[in-house]
Amino acid sequence: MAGQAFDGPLEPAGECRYRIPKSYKPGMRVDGLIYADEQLIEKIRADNAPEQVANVATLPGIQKASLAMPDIHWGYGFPIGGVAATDPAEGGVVSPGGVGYDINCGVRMVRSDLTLADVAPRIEQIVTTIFQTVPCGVGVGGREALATSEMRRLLREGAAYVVRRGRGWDEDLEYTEARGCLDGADPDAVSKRAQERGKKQVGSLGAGNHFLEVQVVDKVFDPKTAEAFGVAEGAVTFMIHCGSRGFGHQVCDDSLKTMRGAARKYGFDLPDQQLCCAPVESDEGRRYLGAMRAAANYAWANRQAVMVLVREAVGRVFGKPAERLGLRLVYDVAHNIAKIETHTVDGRQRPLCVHRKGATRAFPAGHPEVPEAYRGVGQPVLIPGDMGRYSFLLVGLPAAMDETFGSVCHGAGRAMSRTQARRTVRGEQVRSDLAAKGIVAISRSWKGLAEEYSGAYKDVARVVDVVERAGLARRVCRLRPLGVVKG
Amino acid sequence: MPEIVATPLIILHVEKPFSRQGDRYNRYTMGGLSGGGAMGTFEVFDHTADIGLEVRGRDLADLLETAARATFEQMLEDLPDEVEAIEQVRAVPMEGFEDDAGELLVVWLQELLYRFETGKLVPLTFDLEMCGPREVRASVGFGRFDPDRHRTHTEIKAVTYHDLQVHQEADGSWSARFVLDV
Repeated sequence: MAGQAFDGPLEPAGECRYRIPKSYKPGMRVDGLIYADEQLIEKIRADNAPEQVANVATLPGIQKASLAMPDIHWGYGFPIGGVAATDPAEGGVVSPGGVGYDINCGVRMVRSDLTLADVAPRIEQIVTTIFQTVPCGVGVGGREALATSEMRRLLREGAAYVVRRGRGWDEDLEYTEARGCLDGADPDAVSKRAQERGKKQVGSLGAGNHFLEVQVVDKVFDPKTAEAFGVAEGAVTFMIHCGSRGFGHQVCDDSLKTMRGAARKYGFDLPDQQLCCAPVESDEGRRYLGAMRAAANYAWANRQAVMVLVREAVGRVFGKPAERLGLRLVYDVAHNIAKIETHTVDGRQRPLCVHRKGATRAFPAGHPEVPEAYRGVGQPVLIPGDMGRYSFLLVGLPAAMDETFGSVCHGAGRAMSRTQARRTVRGEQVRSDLAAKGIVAISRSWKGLAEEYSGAYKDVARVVDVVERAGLARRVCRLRPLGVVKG
Repeated sequence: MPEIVATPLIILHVEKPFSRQGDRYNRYTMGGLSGGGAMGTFEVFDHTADIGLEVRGRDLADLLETAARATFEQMLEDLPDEVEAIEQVRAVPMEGFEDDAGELLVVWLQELLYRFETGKLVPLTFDLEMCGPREVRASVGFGRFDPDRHRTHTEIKAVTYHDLQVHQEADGSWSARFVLDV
């Protein structure tokens, strides 16, 4: 479990790469490969997450390596920051633990024509208006409840369902991973309980580490790519981080029950019961993927609905419609998901089941799934940091496709526990510290604010530095928070 | 780039001093299988991204009641003032895990969390009419959560199976250790 240091081998394997050889543990089918620098790898070792990387390497059908990003930390079964691809044709499995409870938790970034000079005098009003417009916090659902038939449509159609109801623009779908909809979502594979939990929560942020931020581009590293993404230094942007709410949590809960039985049925000898899984090509595997895709679509619909509320709030503050403020979606990308994608292994293209748990898709220039407007530069990769420092916009590179199934990190990763953070600082202090840095924060919970304070997280700059040095993605720009809304 | 000086604002709807952990439920406890209200205790233990709970009860019913109290105290700073409805809650472990006390604890908490999320119902009083190993049946008094009146803490995504331990001690009391995904 977390807390016990990993005492196994972590062999240097090139720039920012450490290998756990498959000889480390009986049952490992491939090596483990962790992307980190000298400092991060010591923190990673202390967390014992490498043991989980080795455990994932035992999964049937796993290809190339069990991978972990520099923001890796201990998770349930799979580590957070883990990437694993399995080949269904070789009996490859799908595991709910490789996706996580918050299915398709992800990040959405909106750009604007507004500058710092426009926003600075009104930042408090902007943040307050967003807070009052977007439902957020514990036990707070969306503005309306969906009927069962509507819910089923939403689960099949994802973000497009919301756009078709007049909430958003057609171009929003173009700039959403998978156009905001995974084919093969199966509402019949979703329990009634999940549907009931989901009906009242579309268009709500939630709580915990989910947030809405008003940000400013304070540093541009790659002007050409930044221009392609429509951002420039001094421009104001908005970042939304949330997922599939109680719907996804219930789908995960339900599937864990099924998969615990399946692991027994298929005779898998798993080093950790939380790696429970089933072959992709099995009734249990297909059922989980059908339900998980429904949850992924729910999350894209949710972020679409939340974004529209942000557009409305900002439009109200400036007395102009969102179109005239240029509040256009840069990109929306998932970081908790399993997808069937085509990748090249041993010189042969194959459909693989790619698990990204706390990892972000980062496809390079030229990939057909990158929006046409960005295809010359690559896919935008959104990496939130913490509310006191910065976040980053990266772009995917070919090495990610070659080595990590087109994946990179997803954030900073916690440096201290929630209870430790609360012992260290009070919410009121966090608020005034942020104010001293010119950041306006609104939260429903003092405790929640304390738990999310900047010092509780690792420095995300170090994480993206590793990703860049490893050649997986390149920094495009840095985003500094101006205002923060927490649930 | 100009510096922004802005007055920060936190909107909290109820301004009350924080309650001491574990105190808030005391006035709601009432009789049941435990015979006179929960006597159990709980502690929060460190877990990097989530919340760990260690719970002790004088019997299994007391353990389950205390675990429920502990879980809701992680979510809510304030509890509803009064019981609005008493509902029957039944939790049954899945097939193949019928005699697993850990599974019983998980499904019991899942039942209560489901009612909170779909109906804003907060369990305040517990009368455990039947308790394990294959079933929990309880009359639970629920109050209604109002986000405009009740301060909150954090959302619980799930009760996990990680490091899940439930067992009976030599003196007949029960203890549990589990992690909430938040």
